[in-house]
Amino acid sequence: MLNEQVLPPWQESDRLAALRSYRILDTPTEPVFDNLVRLAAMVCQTPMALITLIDDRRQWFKAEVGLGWRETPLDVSICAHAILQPGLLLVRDTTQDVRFNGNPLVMGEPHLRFYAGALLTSPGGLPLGTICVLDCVPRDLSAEQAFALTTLAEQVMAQLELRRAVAERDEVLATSRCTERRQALLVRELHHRVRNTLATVQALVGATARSASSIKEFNRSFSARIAALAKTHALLTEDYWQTVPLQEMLMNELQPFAERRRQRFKLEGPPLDLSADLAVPLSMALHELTANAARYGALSIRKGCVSVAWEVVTADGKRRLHLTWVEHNGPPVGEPSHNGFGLVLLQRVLPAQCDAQVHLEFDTAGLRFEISAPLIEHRHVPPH
Amino acid sequence: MNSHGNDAPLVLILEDEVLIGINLQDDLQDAGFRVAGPFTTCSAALEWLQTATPDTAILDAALRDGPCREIAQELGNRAVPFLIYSGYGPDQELLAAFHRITWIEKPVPPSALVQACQELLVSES
Repeated sequence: MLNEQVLPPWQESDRLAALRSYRILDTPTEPVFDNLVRLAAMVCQTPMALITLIDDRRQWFKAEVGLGWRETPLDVSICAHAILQPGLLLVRDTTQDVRFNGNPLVMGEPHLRFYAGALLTSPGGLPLGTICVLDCVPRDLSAEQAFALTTLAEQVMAQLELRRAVAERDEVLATSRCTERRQALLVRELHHRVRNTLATVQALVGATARSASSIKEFNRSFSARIAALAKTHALLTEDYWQTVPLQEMLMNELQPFAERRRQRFKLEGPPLDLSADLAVPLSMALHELTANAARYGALSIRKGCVSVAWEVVTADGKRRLHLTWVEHNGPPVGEPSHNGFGLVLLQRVLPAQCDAQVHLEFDTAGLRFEISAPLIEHRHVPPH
Repeated sequence: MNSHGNDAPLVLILEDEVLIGINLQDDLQDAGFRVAGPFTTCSAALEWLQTATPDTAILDAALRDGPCREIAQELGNRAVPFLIYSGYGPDQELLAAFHRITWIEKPVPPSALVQACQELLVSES
């Protein structure tokens, strides 16, 4: 007796990928498939019929009559042999066939003696399983019955294809619904943000007016504040996650003071992206610090310098930003004569808005500002 | 009229944009009101409400710790008239929960808010 090893003309990994693309394995029974096996059993006049799919280690039954199982291991499968040959596998008496006369399902319960299976072939020519009829007594199939079984196999494949097309369509629909939801959310957020930004601008008008001593000063401070706010919003809009790199926020303010031959500012800290909730108030604060330095502090004379250093500190599982702004070599510093908008922002707005601790010191050697604020980790924007 | 024995009416401000809140406070104080807050979270405002009652209130609709519903409910229970000042359009659910509610969409001139507060007080008295 020859132990024939038939090498199939396909890669098993391709076959399994094709099978899984139908997403049918381990799904519940469905009347359309149940009816096809009932019809197969009826036409072939057998007590048992199955739609079986050959997985990597098992055969799984999408539908069955007369057997009562949903799967068996692959080593007892007759269908695993059936998929090795095209068309219909007909075994009139399993006890007379060397491939099956040692099979536990033949030798023991349920004592299978007859097998006829029509191949389920993917459009790409890969065998996925069979629709088969079984009996406990030897028998044969008429040409009409063989034709019917082959036709039913084609119907099973048609159903599987339909199912896959529907699944793919549903996936496309789900993606597009997700995009729509994201879009609606962004529009609503944008609307809200525009209104809030306008309200913030309005508050800026009020606050600037309260501290300005002339229309000219009001105009200058207010325009500069709006420009600073606009730059931060531009950075926020550029980024999908609506965050701003701290380094860029600082550069927005300090870049105009850069000189080729002299270091006017020094930035030291790790790359860090800030969410809008922290970035907007902090950028306003950095603008006030820069404007103050340019008017009265280290950036008002040529040898002055600003050092900004920051780090991220983790305490109680929460990340905090620690940032220090120190001015050197500027003119002597004194306490400000009036409570301007910059001070209101640094000492009242920042702590309340960002849940931050701030410390502002008018050291004669140079102004010193420190802030410690929790980093806001949650994201407003849904993932792609 | 208010629980503090002071003639100036007391306005509670609940607004999570601190700059907006501070500016509101300044405008209201200029117009002769006293201000409680500005509070930036519902929980801070609720805590204050445990020991005091304002004459009126300006509430942002969506705060960092959630919608202002609970505060609105509490003010409603005490028959304190209030207005919602929000960047969002009117919330139909919240509108339905109170038979009469003033909803002002941000932004409006400060004088309009001050006037709205005055009207709330007049209509209550």
